[in-house]
Amino acid sequence: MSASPPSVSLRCLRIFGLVGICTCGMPTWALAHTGQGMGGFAGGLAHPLFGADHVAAMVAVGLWGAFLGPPAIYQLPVVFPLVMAFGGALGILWVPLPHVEIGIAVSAVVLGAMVALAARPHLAVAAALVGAFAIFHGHAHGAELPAGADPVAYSLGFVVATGALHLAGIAFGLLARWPAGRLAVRTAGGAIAVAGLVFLHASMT
Amino acid sequence: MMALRLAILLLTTMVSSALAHAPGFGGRFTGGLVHPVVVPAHLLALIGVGLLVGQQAEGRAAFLTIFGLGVAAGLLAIAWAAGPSSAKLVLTTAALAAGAWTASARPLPPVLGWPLMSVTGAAIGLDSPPETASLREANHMLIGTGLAATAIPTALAAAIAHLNRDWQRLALRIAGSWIAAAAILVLALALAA
Repeated sequence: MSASPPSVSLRCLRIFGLVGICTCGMPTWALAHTGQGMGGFAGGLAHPLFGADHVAAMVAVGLWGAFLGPPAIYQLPVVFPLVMAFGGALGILWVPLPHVEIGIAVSAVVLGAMVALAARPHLAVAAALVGAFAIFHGHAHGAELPAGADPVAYSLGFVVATGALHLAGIAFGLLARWPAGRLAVRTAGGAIAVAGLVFLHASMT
Repeated sequence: MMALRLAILLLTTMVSSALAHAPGFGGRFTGGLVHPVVVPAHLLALIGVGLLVGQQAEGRAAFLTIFGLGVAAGLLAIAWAAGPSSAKLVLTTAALAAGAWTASARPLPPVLGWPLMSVTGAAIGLDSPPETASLREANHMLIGTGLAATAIPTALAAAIAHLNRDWQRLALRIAGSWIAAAAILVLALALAA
């Protein structure tokens, strides 16, 4: 006798639970390493959370992934951290990337608008768009990496925080399964797009 | 599920030991035992290896045996006072490879897996020089390190081998991509230094 497969929402909730446990446990490991301050795991974990433009875009990626449904909802959380880390490596190595701040602000505008408009382009188009923006975000984070940070602990914290924001967006985006939730998610997308316009204005002045 | 509980218990115990890591606590054996847990580069590589091996449907025992032999070889080399090495760089590259392969969710062929396991194990051993002047204490520390370095990926792989549901396999791929992403950043930092 085979049980019916769990719904997408239930599966994702389980993933978030597992990720939550890992996220709570990892700082303990990092803090166990004596001599680690904010340059360690905690510093990496906090870094993506202190930039409103980064937070808005990461959450928007998750929202859009949930809107697009399978297979995007499964592929984006796996591919996004890798592409962003590639961008981060470019930033660390001081490989110039023009208009990074503008690119980050535009990412919030475009991704928020995609959610607000409930846009469903081909997966390749969505992946290319999200991947291009991931490089901008990664580049900015890499270039801002504090000197003296423990590289492994900091990088791990940074990746976990970014992934958690992304997964939080997916969790909220799953509300789109219901009519009222769909409205709430699209409204959130609109709010992110408007915030992106504010970021864009700030980065151009 | 029992293997998963055992793995969590093992990790929790090790972290507790690490948090209580104070001069003189538990002797050098305990110091060696917690060493792979408190060195982030080692932990990253060990988790990467555990995830990758646990994900494989076949050849898990061979991969873990080769990894254990690699650790033993590295520890023997460091016991015979092998000089400074670039083991940390090798470890980070191995973590990148293991994480990326886990994220791809493809079967790991032995022609790639065996060298990866042996090199990762040896690098962990070579990067674990005992911090003591006494030969006896150094040996105790190396034995502790060897036990922990083989136990962590073994326990993790045993636990992961039981994760068969779709969402569990996806969580595993996400964890692999996080390990690989962190390793990419660490390698870039090493190149920039």
